[in-house]
Amino acid sequence: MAEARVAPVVETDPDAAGKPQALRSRITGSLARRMIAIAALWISVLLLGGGFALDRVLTGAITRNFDSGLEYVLIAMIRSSEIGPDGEVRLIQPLGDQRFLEPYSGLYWQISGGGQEPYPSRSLWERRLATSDAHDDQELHTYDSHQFPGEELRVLERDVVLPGSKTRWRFQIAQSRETLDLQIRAVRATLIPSLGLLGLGLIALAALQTFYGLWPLRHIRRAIAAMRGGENRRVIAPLPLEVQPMVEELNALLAHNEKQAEEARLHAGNLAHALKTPLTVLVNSATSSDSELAETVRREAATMQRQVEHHLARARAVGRRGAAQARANVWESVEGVSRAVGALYPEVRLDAAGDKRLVARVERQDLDELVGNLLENAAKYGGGSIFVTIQREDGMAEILVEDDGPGISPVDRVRIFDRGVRLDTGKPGTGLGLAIVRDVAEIYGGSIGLEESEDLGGLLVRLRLPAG
Amino acid sequence: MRILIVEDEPTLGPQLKATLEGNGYAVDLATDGEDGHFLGSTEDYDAAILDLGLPEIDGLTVLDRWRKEKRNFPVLVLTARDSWSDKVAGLDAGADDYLAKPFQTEELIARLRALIRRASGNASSELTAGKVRLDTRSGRVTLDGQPVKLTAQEYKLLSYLLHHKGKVVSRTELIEHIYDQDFDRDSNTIEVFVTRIRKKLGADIITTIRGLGYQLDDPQN
Repeated sequence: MAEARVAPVVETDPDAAGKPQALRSRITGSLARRMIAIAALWISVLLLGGGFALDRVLTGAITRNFDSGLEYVLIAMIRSSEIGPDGEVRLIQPLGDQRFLEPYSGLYWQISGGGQEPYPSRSLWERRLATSDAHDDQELHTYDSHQFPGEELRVLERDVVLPGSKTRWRFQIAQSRETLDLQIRAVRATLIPSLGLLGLGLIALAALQTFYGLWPLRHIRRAIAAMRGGENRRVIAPLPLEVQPMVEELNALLAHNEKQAEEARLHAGNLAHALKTPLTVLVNSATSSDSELAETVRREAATMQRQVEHHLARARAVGRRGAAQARANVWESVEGVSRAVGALYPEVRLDAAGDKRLVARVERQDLDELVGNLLENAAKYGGGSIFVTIQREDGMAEILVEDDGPGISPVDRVRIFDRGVRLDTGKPGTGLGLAIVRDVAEIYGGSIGLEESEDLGGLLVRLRLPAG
Repeated sequence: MRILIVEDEPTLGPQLKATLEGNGYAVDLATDGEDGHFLGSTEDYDAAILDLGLPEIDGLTVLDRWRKEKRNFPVLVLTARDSWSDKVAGLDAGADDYLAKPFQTEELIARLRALIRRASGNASSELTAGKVRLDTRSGRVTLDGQPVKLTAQEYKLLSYLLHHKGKVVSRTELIEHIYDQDFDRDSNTIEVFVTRIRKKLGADIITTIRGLGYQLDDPQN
């Protein structure tokens, strides 16, 4: 029924990695299912009650109709009876219905009283209607009787004192309930399925109502998904009055998060500005002198620079991680950074191939940073050719940077990640590039691996980030 | 050689000016964006060193204005904001090189020299042989439109043969042009490179002319 289609309202997106696991375990059943169950309960109760009352009314009416037919015959019978000369009751004229003459026809009469043998209709044949002492008046009595096996009887009886006699005669009319029961069954055969159908229809409508009533929740889910997908930065879909405050709270929370992340970024940038220019002055002043002090200043300034850069890169990435909707197109980043690397290292040949639409769950600036560090390493330490491959692998966005340099021996592939370690000390650099790349990649749930390039013979860096 | 420095930092600006003058350059120093932009627009310089964090007008705007005014002298951007996103933005705005603070003066001078040398420019041209295309400016090689991974040596060899398409090139000639002066010249490695290029671009791309050398030509038919 509709219920099955409603369920996804609260169902979480199964392929969304990075979705808080706690959410899954805290689902307390379906809102839609609960509403439909309540509707089904009250619909069933009302229909059962109503059906019962309707059944009473209808069967009552049918029975009364049946009884009044019999009563008419009973009155006719009393009217046409008289006391015979022998003191016995007799009918002046036979009752009109043929069924009184056929044995076991299902329609009977009997007159009894005065301590004599009862006077039966021919249809009774050798059977007799029972006469009880349950009442002692001259009123009409109607009741069901089981005295004949296999034939339920509807009995009407009345005690009458006829003119010319002191005896109280009991006039009885009995008819098989078969036709009556048949009518009642026919009525019920219509009534019960109709009510059942009505009930099902109502429950289906309630389900439909729930489904459409909860539709806006789906809207929100889709809007949030769109936001996580990086299409929007806020939930902007027009929504009903009842859920609008919730959405506004959500948007406010998002804005707050973004503001905090932005502030962290700003602080990091300001710190960079504040520290780097004096460091340059310091290093340059020290360079013009050969004293021991100058050497110490140069060395320590370089250490300070490394520390500043490392922690800035981390602070930037952590500040941004809060933004769950971070998405960046890998190709665009690689292309932009390649252009920059190409300008900075004009002697290096750089080319890229692969999936142009691949999206990684990373803030663009951090992706630029990761790619930039890898490409710059390849440009500095490679043999002059760099090839970047972008591909999707097991739900991860993979960026492979290959160069034709000397590569890195398996032993050094571990050591190179240590802060400040440089295998080639002949070229300028802080020896932090790979450590920063690894830290930032791991903050985003990615990884970095060093391999050997098959096609170019140098180093292959495999950067993996969650794909969007 | 005349250089413009736009740097607001009171110590670093004069320090740079002094160093560059010591290296034989004529240097003008501007201490804010307005002044820097004016000097760059009105005087002729061989190169400019431009700090991005400037009072009045920021460096990127100055650069953008120069480029719009067709002032095409090479610009080396100097900045503490050294994220790659910033570098991409700076280079896309028309900078020719980018140096992050803190830097060493030697590196600045080396980069400046390279920048001025490069500014003489090199035109782009495309060499083709069959389905193989080589862009001499970007160094991109494609086979049937798909990028091909080539090492620097393989690229140099292919480029040389493409430049001399149809001619037979001897191994000695190839070695002369592919290796640096001090490289151990083992002519066997040429054969290794040719084999690798054939593997990447197709066996028929380079023909071995026994006893003479190699020939690269458009495939027959």
